[in-house]
Amino acid sequence: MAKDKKRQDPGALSEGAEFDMTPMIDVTFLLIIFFMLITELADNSKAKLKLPVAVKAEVDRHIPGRLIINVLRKGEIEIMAVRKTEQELDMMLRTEAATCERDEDGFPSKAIFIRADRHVEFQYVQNVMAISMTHKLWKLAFATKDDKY
Amino acid sequence: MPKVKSQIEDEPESCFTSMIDIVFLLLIFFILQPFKQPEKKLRSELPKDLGPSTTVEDRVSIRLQVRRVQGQPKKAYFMVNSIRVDNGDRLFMALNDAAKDDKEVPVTLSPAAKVHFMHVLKALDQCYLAELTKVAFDAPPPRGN
Repeated sequence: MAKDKKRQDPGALSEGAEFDMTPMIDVTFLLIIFFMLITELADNSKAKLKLPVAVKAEVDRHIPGRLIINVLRKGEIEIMAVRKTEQELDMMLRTEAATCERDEDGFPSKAIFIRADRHVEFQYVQNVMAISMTHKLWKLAFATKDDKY
Repeated sequence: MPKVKSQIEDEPESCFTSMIDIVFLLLIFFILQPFKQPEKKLRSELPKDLGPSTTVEDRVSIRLQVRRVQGQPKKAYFMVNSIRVDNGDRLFMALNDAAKDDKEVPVTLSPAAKVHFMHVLKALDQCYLAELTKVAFDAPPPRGN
């Protein structure tokens, strides 16, 4: 992208080789932008939703192994870009609860991350919570977003 | 005349191409930055069991209900014990009043089924703002009902 002036002027090479950092910075920035976009677009665990706003929310750091459950505006459940019925979610959480590690009280330590649309009726979120509770998956977090965005 | 010409050739040129490159890249970077919305989270816990010992009457000191305003499905109001609160900011004060400086007091959040989720999260958020950390959701009705 950057114009390499030295290559056009062979006389300059004889005066002493200089290392031009500009193209490297160009390429580095382009790679940063490329990977930023790719990681954002390739993340199919998060459905496109209008998240509710919360003031006291904490920054969401990636927890390996947690289950992300999207609850869409009309109450549909989506996991990894696949729609699930309540029965399918029930079976899935049963398997997760049976195979995951246990805390000191003997309860499954698997974390559930609910990403629900801000306008979805609470009953749909409550259904997900009820299914989680049936399988004693008690560790829960709700996705929110900053007010400024 | 030739002397003057060589002086002009020796003068250093300022090449703006690289600077423009980097400026454009920084511009693209900062234009795209808002698209990467940083998500946040509010932690919560579900009751670990559904036994009779977890009922609201036995354990709860503050009962926070979220109800839908009649005829206005997008709006909601809050009930802190028996006090009605229409505004999220007033909810903070009502919770503080109900807690009476006891930040350890348990709160049970009991939203109506049809209320929009954002109001539920608002209630949860206001509890955390009031430094009431022992917030638990009311046990949902048994599945199938």
